[in-house]
Amino acid sequence: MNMRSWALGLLPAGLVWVGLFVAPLAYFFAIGFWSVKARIMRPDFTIRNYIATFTDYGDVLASTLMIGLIIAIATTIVAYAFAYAIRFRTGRWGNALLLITLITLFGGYLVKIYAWKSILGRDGIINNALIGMGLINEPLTIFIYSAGGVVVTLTYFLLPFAVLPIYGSLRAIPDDLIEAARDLGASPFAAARDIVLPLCERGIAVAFLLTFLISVGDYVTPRFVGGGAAMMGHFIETQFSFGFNWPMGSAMSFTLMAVSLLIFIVIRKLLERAVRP
Amino acid sequence: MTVSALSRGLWLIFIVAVIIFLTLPIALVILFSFNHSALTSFPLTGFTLDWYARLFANDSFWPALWNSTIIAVAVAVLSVATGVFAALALARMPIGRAGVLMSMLASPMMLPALSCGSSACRSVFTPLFSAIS
Repeated sequence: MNMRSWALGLLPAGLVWVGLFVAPLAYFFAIGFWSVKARIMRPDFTIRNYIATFTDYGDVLASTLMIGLIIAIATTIVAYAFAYAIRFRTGRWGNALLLITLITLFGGYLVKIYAWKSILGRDGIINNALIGMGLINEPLTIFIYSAGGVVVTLTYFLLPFAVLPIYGSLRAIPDDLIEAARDLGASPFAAARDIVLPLCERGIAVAFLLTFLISVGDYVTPRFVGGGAAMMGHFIETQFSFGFNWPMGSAMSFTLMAVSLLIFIVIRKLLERAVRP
Repeated sequence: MTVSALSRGLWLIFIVAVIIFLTLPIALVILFSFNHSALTSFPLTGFTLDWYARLFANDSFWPALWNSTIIAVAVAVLSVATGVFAALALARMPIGRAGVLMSMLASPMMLPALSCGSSACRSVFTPLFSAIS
């Protein structure tokens, strides 16, 4: 078969991509400029929704991005160290560690949230342990229903997602390259910094982007362990459900998406500069 | 203690800590599913299969399990078939163009939760996403 007939293989995936991803996204991008009167949306071309996103939800947007950044940075650093350990530090145990990481991917999203609820919650394990030790009399609520609860839960959920792309790019680095650096007199640390780190910059960037975008857009975790509000996804979801204001919700979604991608591009540039040997 | 022994010890502590962080929450869920008390707290109050008996006796459990199975199987078959065709095609393309096309096809992965904020994606992506996870 020639090249052209093989290219037909992309057709099903392409159709799914256009029909289920690009088209709905384009539709909602257009809706973002529509207006709503008496809960009915009508075609329009106004940027009022975008202005309202910044005036009414500016502080939520900022705190959402802040929480997302904390989660993404924490997850990426731990994931890098863990992937590094799997690749270079654990020998034949590495595969077992990788397997554990993969298995935790299969745990359901909601099961994981409830697991953390049972650990951090009012009647949770931490509170009961602290009361049992006589350190506190009343259950503390600072662990759950706070930004901290969201950070811990999402870091836990996203860690396997971040380990895999970083491990993938670490595995692509040939051993000879590191041995050559060591033979030429580089210390183990220098080899890790000047050879390994620059070569897996792409994997780190993918892990960061994935964890940042997923945590910034999440609205389920904040509801269960974050005390409901304070993150953008919750308010976006409200616009689509009780708010009957799809244009506003669309504008908020695309603002969040655009600002997140902008932040990612800046961080990617900083990362590229930082890891350059 | 030598520097290399120290670094090996620190790595070991880090690896064990990450493994505990990754597995303990799920292990706790499994553990408490056999615990007598309805509260998820220590000390454990005794072994029971009562929760499982109640779950299996629940009328809405079996249809829900069946629905989940149908959706999961359908999603797995459809996405693997689509993915295999796409991968076969991509593998025969110049590497640069294949890379671009692959990032494009993978882009929905980056935005599941984000785009789930919008209702179209809530109806389209969330079922897919939760079936996977």
